[in-house]
Amino acid sequence: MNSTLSDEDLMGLVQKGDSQALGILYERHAERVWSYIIKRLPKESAEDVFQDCFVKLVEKRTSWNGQPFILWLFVVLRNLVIDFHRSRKIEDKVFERLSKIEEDEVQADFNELISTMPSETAKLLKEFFKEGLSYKELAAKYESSEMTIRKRMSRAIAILRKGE
Amino acid sequence: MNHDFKDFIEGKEKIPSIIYSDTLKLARISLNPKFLLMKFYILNLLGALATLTICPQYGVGPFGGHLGFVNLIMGLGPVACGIFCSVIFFAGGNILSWLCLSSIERKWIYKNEYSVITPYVAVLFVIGMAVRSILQGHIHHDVISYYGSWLVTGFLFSIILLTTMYHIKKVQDEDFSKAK
Repeated sequence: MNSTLSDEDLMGLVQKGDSQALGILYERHAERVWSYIIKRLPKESAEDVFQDCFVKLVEKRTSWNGQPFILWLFVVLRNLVIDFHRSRKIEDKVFERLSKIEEDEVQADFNELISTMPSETAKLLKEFFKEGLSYKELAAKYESSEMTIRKRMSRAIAILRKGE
Repeated sequence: MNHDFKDFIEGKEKIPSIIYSDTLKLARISLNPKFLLMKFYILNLLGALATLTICPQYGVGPFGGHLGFVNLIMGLGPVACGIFCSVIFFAGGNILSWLCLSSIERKWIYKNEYSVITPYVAVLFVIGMAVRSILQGHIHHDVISYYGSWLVTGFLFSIILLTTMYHIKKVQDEDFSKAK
C-alpha cells in the first residue's frame, strides 16, 4: 500500500473495504482525534468516544462523497462529542460552546486558516469548501483535468496542515 | 476565532498503546465483520449443541432422556419448557463464544448485538422446525406456545446475557487497571 496516497484516495479505498487503507488513515489522524477528545471529555469516557469515532468513520463511509477527508472526520468527531455531552446532560461551558458551533463556523475557521496561504491555493480551497464545487466543476472552470485538480487539492490540504 | 478546528488539526497527544491498537482492531472488524461473525456463530452453535446432552427430548447424558431431572420442567407446561430449553440452549452457545473471543471482538459483538443475535436466533428456529418435521417420534410440547416462548426467550435472553457479560467484564477490566 502506497502511504503517500492522499486521505481522499485512501478513503476511496476504505469505501471498497480496504483494511490497509483504513490503517494508514488511522495512523495519520488518530493522535489528532485523541487530542481533541481528551481536552473535552472526562478521561474515563475518552476511550469509548475515540473508538466510536473510527467505528463511525467506517460505518458512515458510504456517505463520504469526496469532500476533504479532514473536514469530514472533524464533523464526525465533533458530533460524537456533542452527542456525548447531550447524553450526559452536562450543561457546562464546553457543552454550550460546542452545541452552538454550526457548519458556517467551521467554514469560518477555514477562511481564517486559508487567509495565510498563496492566493491561488486559497481560492481553490474556498471554491471547494464554501462554494461546494466538485472536482469535475473545478476542472471545467480551470480547463484542467480532474486528476490535476485532485492533486492540487491534496497539496493545498497538505500545506494547510503544515502551515498549522 | 473559533479554535475548534485549528485545535483539532494541531492535536498531537500521544495515545496509550492499548487504546491505539484496540481501536484500530475495532475499526477493522467494523470494516470486514464476516470473519468475526462466522467465528461467533460457529462457537455459538457448538456451545448450543452441547447443551442438547441435558435435553429431555434429545438428551443422551445423565440428565437427559425420560429419567432426566429436566422431566420435572416438562411437567410445568409448554411455556416453562420452552423458556427453559431456550435459556439453556442459548446460554451454552453465548458463553462458549464469549470465552473464546478477544475483548475487542466481544465489544464489537456487544455494540451490534441486535443485528448479530436476531438472524442467529431466527435461523436456528427455522432449522429446528425443519428438523422437527423430518425427525420421527413424539414431541412432548408440540404447540405454538412452546415454540413462541422458545423464540422470544432465545432473543431476549441472548441480548440480556451478552449485555451482562460485557458489563461484568468491563468492570473487571477497570478494577484490574486501577489495581495496576
